[in-house]
Amino acid sequence: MLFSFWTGTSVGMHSELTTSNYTNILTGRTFWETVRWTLQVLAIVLACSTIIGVLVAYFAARVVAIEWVRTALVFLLFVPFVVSYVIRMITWIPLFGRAGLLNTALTEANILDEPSDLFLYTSPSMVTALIFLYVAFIIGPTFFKLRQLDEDLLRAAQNLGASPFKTFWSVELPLARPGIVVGWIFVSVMILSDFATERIIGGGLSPLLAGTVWRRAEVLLWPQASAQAAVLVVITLAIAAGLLRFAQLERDL
Amino acid sequence: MNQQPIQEPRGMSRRRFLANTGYAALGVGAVPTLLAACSGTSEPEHQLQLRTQGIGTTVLDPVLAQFTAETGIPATGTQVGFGEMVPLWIQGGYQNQWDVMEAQGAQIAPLVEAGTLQPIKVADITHWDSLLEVFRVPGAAGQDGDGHPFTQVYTQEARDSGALDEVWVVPTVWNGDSIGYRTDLVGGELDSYAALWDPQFAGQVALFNSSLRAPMEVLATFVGTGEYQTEGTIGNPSRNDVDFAIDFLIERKRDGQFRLLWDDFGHAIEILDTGEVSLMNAWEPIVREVAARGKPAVYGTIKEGYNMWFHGIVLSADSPNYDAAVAYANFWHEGFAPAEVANQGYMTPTPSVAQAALQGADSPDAGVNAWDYWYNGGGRDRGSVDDIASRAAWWWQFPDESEYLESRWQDFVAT
Repeated sequence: MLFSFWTGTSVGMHSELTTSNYTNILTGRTFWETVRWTLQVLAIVLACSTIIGVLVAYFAARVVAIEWVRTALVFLLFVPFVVSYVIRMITWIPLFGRAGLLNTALTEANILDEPSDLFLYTSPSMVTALIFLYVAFIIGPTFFKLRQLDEDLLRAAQNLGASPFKTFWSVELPLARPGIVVGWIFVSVMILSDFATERIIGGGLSPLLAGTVWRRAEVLLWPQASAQAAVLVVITLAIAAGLLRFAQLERDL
Repeated sequence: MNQQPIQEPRGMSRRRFLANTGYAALGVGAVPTLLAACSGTSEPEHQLQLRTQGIGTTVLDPVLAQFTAETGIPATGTQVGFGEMVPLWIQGGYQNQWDVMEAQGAQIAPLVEAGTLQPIKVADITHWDSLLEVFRVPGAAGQDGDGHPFTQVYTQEARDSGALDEVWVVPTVWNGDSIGYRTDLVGGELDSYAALWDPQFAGQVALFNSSLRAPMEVLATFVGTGEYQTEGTIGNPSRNDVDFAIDFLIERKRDGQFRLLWDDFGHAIEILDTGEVSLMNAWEPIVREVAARGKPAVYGTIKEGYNMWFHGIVLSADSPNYDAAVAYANFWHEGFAPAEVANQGYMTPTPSVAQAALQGADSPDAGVNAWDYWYNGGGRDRGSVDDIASRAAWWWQFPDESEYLESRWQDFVAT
């Protein structure tokens, strides 16, 4: 944090206090464009992974009746995390690359005339990757919250004539909300600190905020990197605080 | 086997030990140093040793083992990422963790400015007069507009006095970066950086994610055609030169010219191997690896010239092991180390000294020795060593406007 007020030199920095690192950043169009894009990606990922995550959690918690199948399902969600992050990402080339499985399948089924470049090194592919990388963090807490619900509440809703959907919407979803919000916090913090997906799947040409901080540090521009990191921390804390307020976790957990 | 009780090594205070382990903890690659700090200093203090730091392509276990076998000087190497080399060294590594660093030419100036180096006497370098002239003779062919690498090698005093008797760095390995491409995907041979911006390859190009690469290639392209005159030089551009290059790159990006930016060596191999891209600005070992996998990958001989670089031995201002550093530099000029790095395309600055050893080493072509293939024009897409040495578009350096260049490069990346 202190570094962000120091002055950069070719060998690193010296401790002459300056605010120019902040003014340079805070007036730079590129930086705010990156912030806006990062928040946009975050919003899309949160929306999509909430829909997918709540559906999967509901399926695992309510539809699957056998205990060990349910446990196995939840365990399977976290299997990918056993493999190193970078290896997980590199497996996307044989799946979604020009000669990858998806393109081969689509061309053989005559849906595409020739392999498409859309599935890798594009913004949509990056967003899709982020959703599938982090959706497990929504499923997990939501699942546990749903399992904790008192069965009597569900029976009461049924006895009062509520349809399964009505029960889900008016009883289960509000009670599972703290779980979902915990998932949102996990996902937000991870996306705001993710500097690899944007490069390995996104192709590096539509960077997220954490990636630009990393890049400055790589080329030894520590003061600028620190200043950007400070802005990133403020954004992260603001989002986490906002979400906590929304969930009123201290009351519900 | 005798079990020795663990004891405090002589000549090593607790404080020094803590300092060593603290620095070692800074980098994962520093584990060998940590081990050395724990066990290696039980010899008397005057025993020479060599502790070196650098990237994985020059700090090589077989080279260090052979060096120890030939000279009797114990050697430990620490591999770190390119971006970590200078920070780890300046933040204290030069004081008590390492004797030498296998620095890249562009890193010399910041290391000197930080007061972390001591000069090496030219008279101590056995094969100095066999070094290619581009490194040691002022105005030799192949130097760039700023006199690199000659001006990076000698101390200011040695250049000003004309004595040329002291250097900051002893060059040990060098090469030129250019473009790599798949002949089957681009449909022929390419000989200019202009191919990277050519609309017929739109969406098939990858660029290295560095502000020191593509912008210079843009300048080299348009200086080559006579359409642009730099105010600075290609390697050390002015702000206007930077703006010209970045504005051009942004325009080409908007037209969909570039598929991705690459950062990682392994990732770069994959994208060319699988044909995700048809051409890229590359490092030679990337292209050699793709070719070794049986794909028609060619390393371009570019008419505008190469982006040249060299690595060499620099000596810590605080090192008590001057003689070990000199011995290590001399060892790099002989045959063993040049043969070790030859199949990456990397060359020695003393080809005449290493020739015999290279003639006894293998190349990717069965029946062609490493000398003929890599140094004598026997490789299909490769000229002779003198030919390559004379084709510099610029030598790798940190420009005076690095910070401005980096912020404009971010504009390109994020636009």
